[in-house]
Amino acid sequence: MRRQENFLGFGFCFLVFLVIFLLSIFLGVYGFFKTDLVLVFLLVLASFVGFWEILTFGMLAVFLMNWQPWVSLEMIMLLILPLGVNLGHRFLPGRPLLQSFFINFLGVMIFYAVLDAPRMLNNLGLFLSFIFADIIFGGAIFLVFSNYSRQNQ
Amino acid sequence: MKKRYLGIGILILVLVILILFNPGLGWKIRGFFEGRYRNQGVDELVLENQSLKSELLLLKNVRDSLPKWMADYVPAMVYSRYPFNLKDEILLGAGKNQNITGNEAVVLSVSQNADSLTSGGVLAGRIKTVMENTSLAATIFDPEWRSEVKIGDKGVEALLRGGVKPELALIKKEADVKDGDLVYSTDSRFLYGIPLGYLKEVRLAPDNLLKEADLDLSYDLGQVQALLILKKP
Repeated sequence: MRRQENFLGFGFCFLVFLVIFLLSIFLGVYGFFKTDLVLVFLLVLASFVGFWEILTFGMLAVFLMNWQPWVSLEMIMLLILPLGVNLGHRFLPGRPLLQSFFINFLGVMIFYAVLDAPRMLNNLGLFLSFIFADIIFGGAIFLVFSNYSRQNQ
Repeated sequence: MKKRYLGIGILILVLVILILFNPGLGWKIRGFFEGRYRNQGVDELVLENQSLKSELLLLKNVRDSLPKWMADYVPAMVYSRYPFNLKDEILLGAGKNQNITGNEAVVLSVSQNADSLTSGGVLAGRIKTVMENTSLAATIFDPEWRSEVKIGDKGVEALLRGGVKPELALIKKEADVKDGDLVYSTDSRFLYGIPLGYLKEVRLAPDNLLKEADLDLSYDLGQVQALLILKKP
């Protein structure tokens, strides 16, 4: 996966980010369910771009997703997790797509476990249903990025 | 390459400044796309809620048979909504400076004109955390929401369990309840008798010892732009 880095242009990533941000809003408003699309997008993107790029998109996500006057734990995690993936993904074994599934599963689980583990366990059915959707969605973004970066190599 | 990193550095700096000193801009952008943000006064927005959700007026008729309460209130804009799963919270534009202390009921007004805003409302949540000029409210759509309620004219007791689809649990098996019965709050944290919605799909609980039902709500909280915070008497 390392060799794919930096073949995604900043503009392309920004466009995908905007589409996903709007999609997450419309799904929340009109689909009657909330999603972690932006978190999953950042987790996948972290394997394709450099440290400063993922930091920029993390900050942009925090700016648009923050819902309180102060920076909450949710926003800190939204920033830290993709940075962790960016630094650590190259040490993971296996095929890139499987790595991506694993990273998304682990990332979303750590996100909710750190925020409120008892709440996560009390609502395990709900948690499993949306983590499944997150992994599928993450796989789709991975394929888009993977194909795009291959074309631009 | 240097130019690229200079650009990224400036962008990061701008974002840090916005996050720390103007978080409201992010709420407005999200609110705009959610169809919630309007450049109007809070009282106008409360009234707009009512015209959009006229079916809520039905609750007003039934509420007349409930104990009367007249509470002072603070109208508050809905600034933003919790963006992830497993929680349902909203940020409201009233806080310590508006004498909000915490645990107040948050209601959607159902009255017909501005002069009678205090005449009633539908319970939508509870103030959880209070800041200077804002407060966080947990809504009845939060999976951890639990509150005592009664059903219908006979006042059958039940427990409201929050969630994407709020449910009523612990209804006695022999209780005479049916679809369409009004559900109202009896939780000691709030004023007695604030309506919540109607009973829907009454059924036997999986244990066959009790009944449970869905709560029929005639509004979409995601579209609500302003709410009332009822002050404690």
